[in-house]
Amino acid sequence: MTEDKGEDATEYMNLKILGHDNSVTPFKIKKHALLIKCLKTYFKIIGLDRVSVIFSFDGHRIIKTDTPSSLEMKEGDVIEVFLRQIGG
Amino acid sequence: MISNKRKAKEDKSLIEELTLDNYSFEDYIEGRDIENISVEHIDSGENLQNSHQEQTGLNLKSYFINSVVFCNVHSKKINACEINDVDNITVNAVQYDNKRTFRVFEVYKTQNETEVIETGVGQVQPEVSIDLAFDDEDTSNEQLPTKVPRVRDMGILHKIKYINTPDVNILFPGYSKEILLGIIKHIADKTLNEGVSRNEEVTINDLLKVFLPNVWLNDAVINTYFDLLVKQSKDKVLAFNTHFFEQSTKQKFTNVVCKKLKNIKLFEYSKIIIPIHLAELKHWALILIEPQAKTITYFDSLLVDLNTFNFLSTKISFVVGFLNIVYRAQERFVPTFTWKIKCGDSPLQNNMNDCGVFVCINARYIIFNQQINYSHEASDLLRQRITYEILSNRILISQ
Repeated sequence: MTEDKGEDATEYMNLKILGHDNSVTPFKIKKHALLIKCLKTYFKIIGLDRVSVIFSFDGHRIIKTDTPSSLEMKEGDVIEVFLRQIGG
Repeated sequence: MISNKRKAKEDKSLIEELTLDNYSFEDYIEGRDIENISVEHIDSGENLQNSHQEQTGLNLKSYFINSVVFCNVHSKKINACEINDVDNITVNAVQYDNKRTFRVFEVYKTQNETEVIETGVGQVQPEVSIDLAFDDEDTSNEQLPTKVPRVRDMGILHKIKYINTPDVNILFPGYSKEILLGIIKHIADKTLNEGVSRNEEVTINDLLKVFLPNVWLNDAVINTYFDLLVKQSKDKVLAFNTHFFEQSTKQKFTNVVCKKLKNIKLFEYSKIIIPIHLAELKHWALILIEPQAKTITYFDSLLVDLNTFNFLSTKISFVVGFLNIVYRAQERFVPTFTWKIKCGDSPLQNNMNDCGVFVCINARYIIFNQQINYSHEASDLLRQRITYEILSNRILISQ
């Protein structure tokens, strides 16, 4: 079992981030790696605040513990970036 | 122990992979020289964006706003460069290599020539990697109860008052002082970043936006509430995400939007509700689509005058176009009917803070086929009701 997991962990996946302004950023990540780490790098590059943004995959908001395998992502899937909405 | 160590190793390799040097944009930047950017392109972001879209199908505008353009100078791979002087195109370019060193170039472009001068070599500051490496410790810090203030210490809970009105049984069935105290007690011991019960999407911070009077609601609350409504409705009702409208108007029908709608048979639903966020007005509103009756109803708790309606009708007409496209794709007929757009009968708010509450409550009345029978006076009580419903994860249905 553990060996299987080890093999899986080295497998890479190509995913894309679709920004709030329609920009597309491709990135590579291991299947069992935490997505949030990758997204943190994205913040740095785009220059957005972490609080003002939501990442969503298939309508599911990505939280700290999510990995590509836990969300059953496939090669080439798209993570969407939304700005926080607030209004009165 | 060993497995732990191995894990740590894996994590480290991951971290290295994600630092700036390896985190490259080569996939779509490769082969594009600095010459591709000519003066008139740089003058207006639009042109630059278009010229790059032709070549790559991608949008470079975002990088342009941050004054960072990714490009490739004389086959040296440049990861990031900054445009300092638009007229003469002086470009400070930074090249990262695998050993986390970087080289700084200045690129001058005159009419015929491009000159690249190397001005410095440096090391990426260790903060970058530390920030990523100790990510896990970050989260453990957040959980320490001593460091983060609890809601009870913030001095905001006194703003919530027990409301005594004769209509209580209609507006909030089962409302009593004990229930209100129960909610306050439940919230008071938590910190702002904590999730509400099992639901990770709404944090206490989001929930307080409903609970406290005169605070603007955000998307997390509205999405959760709409999910609850759909779960408990007897009819076949579909609720879209608050981001759907904004995303679709901006991106039209790109692959992402289409992929989402592919498996949803819109015309089999009796009602479709779309909460819409008008970013320009910082305002929430609601669209109800009834596919069988072919009507689109727009509910707004602010008075809609002619100017706003003109502004809105362009947005709502987008919904019509979208419905027609879906109809053509799914039913394989050219739509021959016309959609009726009308303004719904929503109670009006008496301040500039409650529109999110009105959207939630209107949606509830619509989904459960009830007559809308509340007014702005009840908004504080309705806020407490929404809080209670989100906390208990079910909608109260009045008989």
